Amino acid sequence: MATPIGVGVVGTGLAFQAIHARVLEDMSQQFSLRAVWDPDGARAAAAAHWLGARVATDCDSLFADPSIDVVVIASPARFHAEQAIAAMRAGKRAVLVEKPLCRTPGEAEAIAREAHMRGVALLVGAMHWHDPAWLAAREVFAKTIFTPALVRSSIILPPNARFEEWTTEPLLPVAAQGAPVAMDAAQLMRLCILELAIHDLPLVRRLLPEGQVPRVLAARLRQPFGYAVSVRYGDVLVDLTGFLHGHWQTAWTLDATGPQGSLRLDFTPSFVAAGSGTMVWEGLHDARVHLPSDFNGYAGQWQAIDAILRGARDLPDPREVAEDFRFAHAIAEQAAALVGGEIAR
Amino acid sequence: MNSDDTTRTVGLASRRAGWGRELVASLPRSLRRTNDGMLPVDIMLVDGVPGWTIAAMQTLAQGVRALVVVEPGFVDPDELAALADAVDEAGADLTLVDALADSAALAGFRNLLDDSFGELVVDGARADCRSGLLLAQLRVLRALGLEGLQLTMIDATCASIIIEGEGHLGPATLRLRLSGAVGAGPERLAVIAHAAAATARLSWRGGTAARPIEVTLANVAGIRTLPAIHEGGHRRGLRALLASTRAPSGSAALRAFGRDLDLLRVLLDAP
Repeated sequence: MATPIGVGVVGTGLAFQAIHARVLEDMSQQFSLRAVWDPDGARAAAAAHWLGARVATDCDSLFADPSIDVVVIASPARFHAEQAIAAMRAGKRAVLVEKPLCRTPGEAEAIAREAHMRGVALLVGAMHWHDPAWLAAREVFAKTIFTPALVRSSIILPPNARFEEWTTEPLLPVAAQGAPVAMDAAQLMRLCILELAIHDLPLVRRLLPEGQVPRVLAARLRQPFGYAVSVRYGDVLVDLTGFLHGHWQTAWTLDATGPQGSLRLDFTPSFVAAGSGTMVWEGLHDARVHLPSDFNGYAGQWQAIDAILRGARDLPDPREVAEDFRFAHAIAEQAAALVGGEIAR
Repeated sequence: MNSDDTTRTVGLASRRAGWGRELVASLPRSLRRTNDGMLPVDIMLVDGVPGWTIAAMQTLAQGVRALVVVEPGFVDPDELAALADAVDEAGADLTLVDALADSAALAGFRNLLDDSFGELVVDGARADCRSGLLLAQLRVLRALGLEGLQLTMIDATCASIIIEGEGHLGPATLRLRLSGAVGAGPERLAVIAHAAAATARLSWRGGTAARPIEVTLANVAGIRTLPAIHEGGHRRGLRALLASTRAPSGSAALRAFGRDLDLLRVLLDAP
């Protein structure tokens, strides 16, 4: 049996507790958590004690640990670029950065350049990218040219806290992690795009033609929390909507319609290990369906890392990862400017 | 052949072979189809394909005083206005019937919408054209009872649209978002109504078959699914007419349809 791949984690908040810790425990044959670091020493200690890892004194000491090949960056986004680049420069073989990759296109470019130069596997934590339903859709489009006229991403969810509660017990009381910060409309829109819509934006981008730039035509916030953003991308309209309501129902869909057929993906929500989504492709000459399975995109991303590091799969192109961020960032900034009143419509 | 006082003769105005026969045959006590072209008839069903206003004019000229246009499509505004005048002049009654707008499911969905709902999203896809797509969406909004529509085309390509706006549903103002595309694959239309504490959904898979249209209401108590109705909108619309639950309105429905077509033309011509 192969030696498990060593993993280090920077940031032991809810994303780590509810997602990565669970998956890594399930995949203990392939991965071994060696060290954690968090600016909150008590939380780091609790995570380390829970999972049998050591507490690193700082990021640099975690990155310098030769037993660690994979680093998870699960800190706030403002630290992602610096920490991801430091991890790569320390010789790590794979860096999994929680979404969003970073804050600016310049940071994304720097991260991608470093990964490209050093041959590091750079992944962004977005479960739908690894969802079998999306992989099934990509199989369809490997054989079928699809030029949609409209792509719609619709994310309708209860508040996150419900899913967190179903997946973990916070190591520390959540209230101790700080009170919510008041935001203006532009900041809220950035949050909507870069924290919620961004889950599916890499998928949306793969459905669009190459060589265009997104142009946001209209944007508005929804109450109590949500967004409706209309984007023009070449000859394609992109309809991005999200809404967090006060009841239980989830409806997380991505669909696209074009002259060759229509695609519909129904995804499971964040945090929970609710299995895969479903995919239905109804083409002019064929139809494909991917039925739900127990396999979840969260596990998928770790399986991808395992396969890459064992040489069974090619490195992802870090320039594509950076391009995904640039796409999301351009939409977020334009939409923020619209709701912030900087661009009159 | 048996008949009674309530049986009305019906003619079918369509170039499509066999069109409308099954619909008429589903109401054997109420309707009796005449031999092709035999007049007069009590009611004429007019196929709403391109050129339907001409067929309707001919029907009026032949003395028919009750017309039902099934699934009316885009027509020239002058032709429509002339038809409306002719309907009034003849003292006739013209009714419009749509597969979705006249369905029991849409009526059930409408009844779910209380004043807590603040936004209505309509999304659709169909194979023919943008104007047909948008017309179907507008017919749905009208069937839901929306008035005072203020719609703005956010953007349109040759095969897709995104529209935003608002409309009044009783005393409430609803924000509206319409999107859709022309493409291969099945015709479909979904309506989602958002409230902070509830979501109502209608999901229609196109066509005129009596396939039930799913309607649900989700809230903190769980989910309520409206009963499945295996009756298409065309039959239900026709039944409403026959049962006189829909009062004769002369050309009123036609003129309202014309105003909606004007609105759609403005939207589709918008840059």
